[in-house]
Amino acid sequence: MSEGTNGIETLHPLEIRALRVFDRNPGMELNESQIKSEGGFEEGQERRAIELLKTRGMLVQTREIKDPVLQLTDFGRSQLEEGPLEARILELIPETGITQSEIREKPGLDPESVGPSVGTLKKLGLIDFHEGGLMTPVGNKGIGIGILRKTMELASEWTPIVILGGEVGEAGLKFVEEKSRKRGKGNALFSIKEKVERHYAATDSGRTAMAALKSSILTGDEITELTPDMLRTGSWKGRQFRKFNLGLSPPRVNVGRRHPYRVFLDGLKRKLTSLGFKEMRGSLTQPEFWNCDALYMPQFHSAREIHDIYMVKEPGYCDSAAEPFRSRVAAAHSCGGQTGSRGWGYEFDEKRSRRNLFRSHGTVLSARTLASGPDVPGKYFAVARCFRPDKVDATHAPDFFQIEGIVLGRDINFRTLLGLLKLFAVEIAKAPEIRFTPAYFPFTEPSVEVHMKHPVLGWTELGGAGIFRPEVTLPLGVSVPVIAWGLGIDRMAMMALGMNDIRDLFTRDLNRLRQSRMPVL
Amino acid sequence: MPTITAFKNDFEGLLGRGIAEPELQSLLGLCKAELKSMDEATGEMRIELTDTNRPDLWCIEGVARQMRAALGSGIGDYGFFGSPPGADRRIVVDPSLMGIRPFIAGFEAEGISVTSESLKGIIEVQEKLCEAYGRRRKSIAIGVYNSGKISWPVNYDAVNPEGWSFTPLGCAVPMTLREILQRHPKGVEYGGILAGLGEYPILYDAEGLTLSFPPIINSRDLGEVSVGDASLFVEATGTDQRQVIHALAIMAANMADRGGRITRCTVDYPFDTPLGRSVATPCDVAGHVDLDPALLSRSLGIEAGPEEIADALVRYGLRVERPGQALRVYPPPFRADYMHPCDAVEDFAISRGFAAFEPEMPSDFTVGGLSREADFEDAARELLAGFGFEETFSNVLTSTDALRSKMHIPPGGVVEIENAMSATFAAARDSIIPCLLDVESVSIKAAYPHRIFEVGEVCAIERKGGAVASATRVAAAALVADGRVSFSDLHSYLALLLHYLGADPVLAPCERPFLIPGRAAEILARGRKVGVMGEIHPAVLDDWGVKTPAAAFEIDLTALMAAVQSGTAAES
Repeated sequence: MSEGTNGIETLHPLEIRALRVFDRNPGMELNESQIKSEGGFEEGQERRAIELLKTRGMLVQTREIKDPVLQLTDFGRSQLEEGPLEARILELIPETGITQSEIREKPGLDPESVGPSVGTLKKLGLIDFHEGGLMTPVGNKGIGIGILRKTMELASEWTPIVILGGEVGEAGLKFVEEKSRKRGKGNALFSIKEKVERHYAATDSGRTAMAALKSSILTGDEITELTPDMLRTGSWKGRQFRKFNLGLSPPRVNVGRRHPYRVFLDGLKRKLTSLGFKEMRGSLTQPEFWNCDALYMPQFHSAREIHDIYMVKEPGYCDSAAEPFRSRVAAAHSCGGQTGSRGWGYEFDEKRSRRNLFRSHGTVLSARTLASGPDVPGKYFAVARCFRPDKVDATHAPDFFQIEGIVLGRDINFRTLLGLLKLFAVEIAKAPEIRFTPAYFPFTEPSVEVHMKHPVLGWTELGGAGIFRPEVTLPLGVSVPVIAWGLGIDRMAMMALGMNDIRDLFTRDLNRLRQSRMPVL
Repeated sequence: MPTITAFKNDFEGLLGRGIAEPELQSLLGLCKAELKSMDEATGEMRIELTDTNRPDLWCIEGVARQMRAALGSGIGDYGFFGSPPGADRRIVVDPSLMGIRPFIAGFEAEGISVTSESLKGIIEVQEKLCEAYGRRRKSIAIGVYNSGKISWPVNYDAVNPEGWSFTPLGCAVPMTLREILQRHPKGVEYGGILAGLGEYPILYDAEGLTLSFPPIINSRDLGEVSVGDASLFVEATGTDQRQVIHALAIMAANMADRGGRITRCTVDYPFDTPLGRSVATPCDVAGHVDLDPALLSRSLGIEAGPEEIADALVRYGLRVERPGQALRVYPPPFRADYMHPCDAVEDFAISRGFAAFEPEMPSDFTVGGLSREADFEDAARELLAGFGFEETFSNVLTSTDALRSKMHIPPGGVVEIENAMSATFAAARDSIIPCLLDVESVSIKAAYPHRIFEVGEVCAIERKGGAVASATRVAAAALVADGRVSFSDLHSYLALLLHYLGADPVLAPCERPFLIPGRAAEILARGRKVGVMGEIHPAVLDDWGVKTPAAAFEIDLTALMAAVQSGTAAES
């Protein structure tokens, strides 16, 4: 498409028709109804054409006139053919006079309506009353009847009130006033509505398009929509297709899709399963035994204090953990038991280990897995929702996700632990440059923290890991070395989703959700 | 995690040489510590310590000591731990303390010139140990005194709160112990530790002069340390003897590092303690472990001989003896963290530096896969998204108000948090429909129709016999909100979803307070109840501030999965 055609090939046939109306009236300002009648548009088509041309900048609205317009009510429309009752009654009044009761008896009239209509005729000065209830027409009754009928016809054509006076005079206007819809009065003939009439003129680019149209072969008969009918009859043959304007923004649609944060988590799960990890699941509430004791966190450990763990109100306690785990774990704490350790050296509180809490880390699922006869060699992971009492802010959600897991095997050692973390850094965080620093977790020894050089964030903690202490594995019946690992994913997720407030991961606002992109995985 | 504040020149004095920031950064790895900030002008640095089991590192003395070992100058001489206690330096414990705060330990340090800086340092260590290790003075409280004013022996007694008075630090007049708890800032702060006790601990000297009221406050007479004091008395009291002695050992080592000559005190107990009735303090809390070089090599994936191991351990401040094939490893007397030979393995690895270990890929082949629950969940999510529903994702924690009163459901039956921080997040959801209504309540400006769903965990209270338990289940809920919403619209989606998941649903009329009567149905699959569906009651919509009619269903996927499974089993 060349510049000179001004995009006319994408004009809709309706637009072409509307432009031609302006072309036939050079330099003129036209209103909607003029465009409609001159362009031969069907109801509403002219509006669509005008809107499209306005969007293209080919037409511009010049004026907007709001006029009160006379219209017929539904009742009025039903009377249009017969003419108003007042005209029919006037017809029946001879120069010699007649009484109301005589008129009531005439066929085809609703006796109830005669009274009010006679009243209207009197108010309009079209009849006079005489002695004995006789009424006679005033002046030439034919003129009066004409005015009444004419008023009704004008109303059917939505005539502006300003024009009405010139056509039907004082009597007509009075008639409108009497028979307009008012409170408490049925059978009104007329209603007065405000009508907006907009005027438009062609712009320079509109004129350019008109000129281009003249020299083009566009006929306005181009096919807009290919229909099954056209295919059946072959009527599309030999006709042009209208070219579409590709610059228009498409209408908004709302569709179904998965939540972006869940898509991110799904991606991590997929990655881990592809690396040979099996998913672990478990309860959101756990006894302290599995959340803490089995992980060799001493009962006096600060991370077990009330301000670091959410306790369950009811049921506050559960049954004791199954044997032999209960006794072995208790022994590991108090004196080391059979683990070769001297233990923490305190009196283990069995009741405390039955206390229910909201799991504070995903490692609880690892402990449960160790106690349930895991595969050796085996790799496990969990995307676990965890709970900690933190003030909810940009970096703390009321509950959050941890990705944790274990690797069991005879060849597990500190170097394979580092190898695994390196694998995670490359495969999951896409950060080939990493460094390891010593760390502390009560359940692992050695413990390590892995930091990665993130392309955007710089050196960032990726996660923590270690080799489970024998005080953890042996009481749970596992005799091979076990790697325990955990990855911090909040920051990764926020990066992938372009967010800087953790609460946005769980946004409730559908408008914002609809705007959010899928994660960059 | 403790964060300490120190000054660079003080630190360099303890280290025995100057140190630049990059070297400091890397050596801090030895202490599992991180430099948080360094003020170039004043030399003030903030260091975060992460090892909650190494309180000996929660001070600048400890950090410098660990680095000294690595730099080859040794951690220092702590021979006083084995020296005989001072003849008259005795602390006499009264039997009444047994049920109150039974344990005490103490020493005397001479030759430290107390400057305003060193005083600050002493107080900082004391506070870190009492707050973080001693759980806000509950299990450990430490007092420091000018020992020149003390007449020996010192008595550790328990007395009537009204019957004993002294002038506490920061006050001008004597107060009874009761008054101190009521009016003194420290009494108000820490008084809770003594709640419910009839008698309170008190420490006084041979003349009857009060040293302190542990764990609350020192006296002004004997318990005030000033710049220029030549000798100090340090004591720790508490509920756990090992912790008390451990904390005191750290204090003693720190003062020795600053040039103090330590004299141990003997504590005389009238009752049996794990360490006997007469305990000289501070004493060695470290013990030892026997390390098999083969175990170390296997754990770390390397080949290391006894010399190499011993050398690296010594450079980490440990003493190593070689009685035979195994190495006997002695941590310094103030380290209480050695429980198993694996602790020595880690110290070896830290001493060598983690960079010395070449990462190696685990070679075992394993089969990965999602859990059955996740597969089932994902199938439901995939279908609902394909049906044109937008997935939402809510927190599991919410308010009981959202789960009950806003749903017009009578209270009870919710798994609540005992120690909730706010009413907004005080319970775990037992249904997902309230979460979807919550989304609706803040989304009234989003263009309709709304078709939303969430699949996720819920917490249900289950009663088995007399026992109450909380169980985690997986649920899937979907909601449609639009100007016109009908039961049958949603019914179509429900029927299709369950059909695809393997069990065509049957609806049975039911009543739910949050659904319009007559338009509420229980969902049955293979004869089992698996969910509920209906049009949301306008009164409920009102309470959520939702202005658009809505219908919803919720399926217990855990139950559905069981139903499908049993059906499949029956068919085959």
